[in-house]
Amino acid sequence: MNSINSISQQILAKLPLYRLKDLIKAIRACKTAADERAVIQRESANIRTAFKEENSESRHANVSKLLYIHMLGYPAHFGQMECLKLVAGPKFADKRLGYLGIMLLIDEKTEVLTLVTNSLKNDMNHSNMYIVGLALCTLGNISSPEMARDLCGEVEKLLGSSNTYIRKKAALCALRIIRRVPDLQENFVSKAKSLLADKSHGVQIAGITLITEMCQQSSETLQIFKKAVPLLVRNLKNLITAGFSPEHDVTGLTDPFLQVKILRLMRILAANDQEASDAMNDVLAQVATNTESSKNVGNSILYETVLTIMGIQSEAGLRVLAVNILGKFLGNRDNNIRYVALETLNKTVNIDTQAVQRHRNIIMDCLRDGDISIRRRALELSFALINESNVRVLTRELLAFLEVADSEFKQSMTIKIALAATKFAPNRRWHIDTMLRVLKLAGNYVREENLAGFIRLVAQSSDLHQYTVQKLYSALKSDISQEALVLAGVWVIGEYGDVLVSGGNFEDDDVMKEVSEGDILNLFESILNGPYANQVTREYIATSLMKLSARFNDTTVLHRIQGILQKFTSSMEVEIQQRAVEYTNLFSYDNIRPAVLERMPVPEERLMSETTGGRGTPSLDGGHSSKAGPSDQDLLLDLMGVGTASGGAAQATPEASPISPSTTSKAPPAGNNMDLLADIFGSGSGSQPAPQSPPPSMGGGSLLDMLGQDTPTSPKVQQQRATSPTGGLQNMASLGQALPSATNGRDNRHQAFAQDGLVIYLTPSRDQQNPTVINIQITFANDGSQGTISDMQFQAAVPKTQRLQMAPASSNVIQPGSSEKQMMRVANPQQTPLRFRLRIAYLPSSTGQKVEKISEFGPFPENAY
Amino acid sequence: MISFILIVNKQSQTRFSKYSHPCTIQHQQRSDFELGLSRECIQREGHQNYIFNYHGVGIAHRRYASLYFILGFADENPFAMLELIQFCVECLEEQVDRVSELDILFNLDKVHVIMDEIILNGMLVESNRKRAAPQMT
Repeated sequence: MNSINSISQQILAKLPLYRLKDLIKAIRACKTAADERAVIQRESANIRTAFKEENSESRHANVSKLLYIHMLGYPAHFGQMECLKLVAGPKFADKRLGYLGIMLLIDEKTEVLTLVTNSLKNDMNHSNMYIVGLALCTLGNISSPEMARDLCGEVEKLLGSSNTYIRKKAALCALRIIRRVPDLQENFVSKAKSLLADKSHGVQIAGITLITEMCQQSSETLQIFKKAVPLLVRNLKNLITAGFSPEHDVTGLTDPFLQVKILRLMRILAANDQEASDAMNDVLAQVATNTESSKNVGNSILYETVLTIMGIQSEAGLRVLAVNILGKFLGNRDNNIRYVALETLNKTVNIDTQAVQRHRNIIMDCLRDGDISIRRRALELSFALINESNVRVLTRELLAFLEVADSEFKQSMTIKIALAATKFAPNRRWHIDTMLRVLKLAGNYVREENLAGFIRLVAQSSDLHQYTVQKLYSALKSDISQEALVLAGVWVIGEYGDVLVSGGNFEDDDVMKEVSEGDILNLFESILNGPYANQVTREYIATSLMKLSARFNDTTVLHRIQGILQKFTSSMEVEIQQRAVEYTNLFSYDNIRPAVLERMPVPEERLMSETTGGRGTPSLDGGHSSKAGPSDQDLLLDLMGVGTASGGAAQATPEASPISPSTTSKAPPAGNNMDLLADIFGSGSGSQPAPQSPPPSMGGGSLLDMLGQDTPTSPKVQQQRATSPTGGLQNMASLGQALPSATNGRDNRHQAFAQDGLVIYLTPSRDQQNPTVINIQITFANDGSQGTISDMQFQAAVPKTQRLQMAPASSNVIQPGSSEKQMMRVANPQQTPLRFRLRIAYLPSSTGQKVEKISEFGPFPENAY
Repeated sequence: MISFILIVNKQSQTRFSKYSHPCTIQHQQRSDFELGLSRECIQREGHQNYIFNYHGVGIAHRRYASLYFILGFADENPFAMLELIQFCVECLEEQVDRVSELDILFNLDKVHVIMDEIILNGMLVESNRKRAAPQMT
């Protein structure tokens, strides 16, 4: 048997392969790829010789073989001329194969294409409609811009032909033409309108496709076709309500393809148009409710309907209907439908968040689905859904998901959870707990900015220091593999190690623990010796140890600390060596060491930029653009009003110097250096609670006075004077950061007073950090008509519901032609309109007489700030 | 717009392919692309997800006996694409009873012509099964 098979195969191999069938059989008989290549190469050579011999009978067979070879991926360009010759022949089968070959083998870039133009033109005028159809088909598939221009007239004529077969092909040919040459669009507009009213579904479909493309390309055509909306609505209604039509029926629905196309065109036409949207409302509702969704056909129509409802300006009830349909999709067991529903919800969640909230539970379930693409999309959707009311529940779910998530998700999840927690945290303890869990679960994927944010958060919440440091300590005892957790823990223990040791017993997983200084040292040593320690960890530990040396009292522990630092002085890493040497030197300066290693000042809030929710893959750029945590230097400089964020720094520093003559306060003069420093450490940012540190000085006390209590000097109105310089320092600190926004609002200034050459402008702007606070920059401009203005005093009073802080002016002497500035801040928690009673006193040099004026300044206009 | 139609068998051999112009996949890369895509489709049988995204192209595929019909599209209703696959198969069946792989294999040009009647350069032309029968003479 086998020998007969092998013999017959050998014979077969030698036979010429005349027909396509034989070639295919031969190729299928090949056992290996090399065999197949050999057969095909032999056959290609045969075909090439046959073409050279110009044998017209075998041309057909040869070209069909060539097409097969082409489909398998082998080069077949030598057959292009043959196809042209076939097309020129009289027989229909030849023409058909020739055009097919042209469509497959030739593309736009080949120069041979121009030779085809003539045959196409002839065939488009042929009497046989099928040949015309062939030509249209070819032109529709591969026309180049030149061909399009040449044959545009022919296509137009055929578009108006009475033959439906030709019309529908001509419509799609026109589509190709206007794609390549958009200028030719106008030629087809009038004809296209009549296509819509055609009885044949094929023509309608082609017409709708053509119109869709035209509307997408140019907005004028869009306007023209808006008039067709009633016609479309009618057509769609007919389709839905029509009886059974066997030709178009797909499991009970009439021509779903046409329905979907009509819905799509309606979406494009009514996208920004209220009137058109109204016209469609009831037919959309009808489609949505009547279509049964048990089969895929129904689902496709419902899906398109949902997209249309979301895309146009539909009424609220319709939108709710659409979201409900999507919710039903989500509950479907079929993965595909859920996948598509999640994608659509991702796109629409920004438009209509409320309605999507209802399906939150199902989305949570999708997080645990077996299919990864569903999980990914459900994750994006959940992040988009977080708001104040559901933040606890959702974060709990998301943290549970974080535990089992793949590593590609973990990084983006940490960023987003941190962002959501910052925005919506109900209280600090919850925030810290959440961040702690994130660090524990995915510490290796936490970015530096989030870590800095966490440390900032801990520093700001002074009441939770003990809690935090205990939690971090126990977390570190159990697991030192997560880098971010280690860094955060080391930093916090370094800062608040004394709190930890003096905290006494605390419960950690039902085990009472007490931490001693030695225990902390043991932990640090285990981290250092562990396999996860890298340079950054060592740097943190070095600094942390130094801080602990100021806080701990046990001499053995201090010796150990010194020992570790001594070891670091010979480390190969330059940074560590430098730090260790400097720290070791610091040990000999015992009198200032405690002061140097005091608690860190609370860092100011920096704004983190957000990534807008759920589009495609989460972008990591959101993390990049948020600023890194402030360095120690920056912090101190910031608080002194000189430095990174404040543009008005130059103005701020003069105010730090003692008494400026423009103030009328009787407060004590500026304190000495110690007081200034203590003030910095004692104040922090305006609205945060002060951390445990030396008590605030006099200036700070009066500040708290102003902010905290009402001290009315008159029953109705509270009058504030400009503050003492130390308070002014505090003012400048927070105002310094607000200044950039104020200086940007030059065009936003409102005139408050104008007399004797003095014009006073008020420029309001909202404080970036606290939206209920308005910063107002006061500009005193002297146009010089009355000479120099000196002894400038400006006082303001606000209604009882608001509070006012004023800073000293840049100078109380205004030279002619120049201007001076002053800042004031109004805290307006009840958002009442801002009104001032102003008392302005000055001495113009021309008259030599002191002028004093009292005036009212009304509320700022609506969008002033 | 429909980017391409592929009919592939279980061994990832392409039995029919039709790309619409302008196509983003050059001729030389086609076989690799088709191979990768068909592998993706075949292994998804277990996961039951027949609408997905492959290299930026939306894919809908359906399995009929030993053949996989794969449709690549951009910016179209995915469910409608599944229906379109069913429609194409039914049109093929009008020509030949009980279409099998060999039928497609040996009548490749006829399949091209039938497909041309239904889809022209990535756009649907005819949704009427009777009208979609091409002239054979």
